[in-house]
Amino acid sequence: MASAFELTRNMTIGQYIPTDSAVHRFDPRFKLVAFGVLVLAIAFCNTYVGNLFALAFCLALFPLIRIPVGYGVSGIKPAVPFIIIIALLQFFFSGSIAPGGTLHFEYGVIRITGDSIRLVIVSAMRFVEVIFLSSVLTFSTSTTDLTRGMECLLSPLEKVKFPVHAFALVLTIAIRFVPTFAMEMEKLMKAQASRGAEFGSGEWWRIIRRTKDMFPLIIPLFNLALTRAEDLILAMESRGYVPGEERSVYTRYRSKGADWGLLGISLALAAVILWLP
Amino acid sequence: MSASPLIEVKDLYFSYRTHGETFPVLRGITLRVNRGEHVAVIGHNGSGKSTLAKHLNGLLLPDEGAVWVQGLDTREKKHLREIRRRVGMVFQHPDNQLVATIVEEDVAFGLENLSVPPEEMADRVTDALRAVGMEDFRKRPPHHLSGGQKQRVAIGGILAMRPDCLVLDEATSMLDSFGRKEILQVVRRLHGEGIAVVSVTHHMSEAAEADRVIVLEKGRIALEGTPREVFREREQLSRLRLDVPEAGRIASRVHAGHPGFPDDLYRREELVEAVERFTCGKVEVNHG
Repeated sequence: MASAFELTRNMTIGQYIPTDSAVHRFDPRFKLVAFGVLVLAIAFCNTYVGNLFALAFCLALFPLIRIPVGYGVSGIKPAVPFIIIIALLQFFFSGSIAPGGTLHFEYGVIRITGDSIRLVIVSAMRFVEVIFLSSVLTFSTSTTDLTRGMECLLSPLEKVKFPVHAFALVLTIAIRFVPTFAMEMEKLMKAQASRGAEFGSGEWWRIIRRTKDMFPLIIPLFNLALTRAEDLILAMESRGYVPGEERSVYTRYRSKGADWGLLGISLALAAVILWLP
Repeated sequence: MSASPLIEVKDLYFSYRTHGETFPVLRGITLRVNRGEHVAVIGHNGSGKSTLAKHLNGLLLPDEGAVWVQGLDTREKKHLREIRRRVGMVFQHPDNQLVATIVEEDVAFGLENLSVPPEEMADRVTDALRAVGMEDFRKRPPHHLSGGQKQRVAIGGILAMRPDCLVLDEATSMLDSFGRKEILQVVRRLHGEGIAVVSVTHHMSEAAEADRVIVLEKGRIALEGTPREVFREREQLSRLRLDVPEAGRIASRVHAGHPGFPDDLYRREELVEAVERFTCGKVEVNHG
């Protein structure tokens, strides 16, 4: 069992795994657009068949990027409580009835209808599908490529004075420091635990207590983050960074035929998902 | 000594101000760094050595006096970028100076700031990574590297900008002895290739490798000269709570017992050589 202190190893989603599959080599701009198209299609699909198809397709993507399906599926674990809570809320309180729908149970505000059962199942499936898709995207695309791709896609916004480049830099730095802060947090937790503090030992429903347990970590973490930020500013300035000044860009992307193919395939899949009965 | 120094510092005064109080840090410092020279700055905590380093590329600006980098005044804003290209700085904490999520992107960061055309960047990044021996780590994220490797990437990021001078602001103080060795090797090689090095350090053995040592005390220069000249002043150094390099301490202890043994040694190699000479080669010395 993974230790409660090992924050950096428990997350699968958001980790880049360089298996160098064909998917890894696609242009990140196209991957992002394809991802967007598929997520939209899933969001608008409310049929069982459509979602089953999408689910099967998402699972099939893991072998395609040469990552064990089991590993990909384990990415849902942290999301399970959310899925359950949403499902419960929808199950009891959504209560919408389409004309001609069936009402199974009613008591006060609680109404269980044929439609709400369907909604529960479909939205749980959607949730899982979107997690799988995001996992596939992040497994196969480095964060650098993701931010650079995003920067390219957003670059038209520069015309309306949106600071696209600064935005991308902020994103890059944030991502850069996630593992650093996770390690810092581990260190703090171990330091506090060795002096008798307990983390995550309370019963799970005592949310307030468990949140309070985290305060002795959050404050030093903030303090460290601010020190780091100051150092980083100096280092950036000393390498000639001036906010808002003209800069050139290191990574540039050139689209290949295959990238357009990817876009075509994702549009076709979106169409299938939406038009299935 | 060439007529035009690389960096010239003249009558530099600087104080930090917080909550209406002033803390004078640098009180009248004058020095020059010549092309290709290796200068070490040592001093006890609070002597102002880091503050001095931050003046060398305009991160801090003098209250009084001036700093010129090849004739460019650091107080003139329009020169700052060029000054920072010429004088690169490596900081203490390996984690707090890498900006990007991938090694090669980080090395390119400075080049992007200088608006170097993308076609040229790839070559310069490759050259810089090769110079610090990190070409195999090009695509790695920084958090998978050791402290010494991170510092090498940081040096690479500066080399890509083709600087004339590298300022190391206690760049080895957070590293283990292995990481320190890595960095010192890289720095030695770069110095051999003609880049001037200013190393702010509290490791006396690092200072012993410099061409010139400057000792700071309370914002003033207390001693200045070749390592031999500076480390000869043992009493003054101990008054400033500074050490003599390990080799120097060993030499003087041997000297105490065997007056024929020289006591003004400060470098490892010198010590090894002296021991060999002194024992007429009868003792085998491990050069490691």
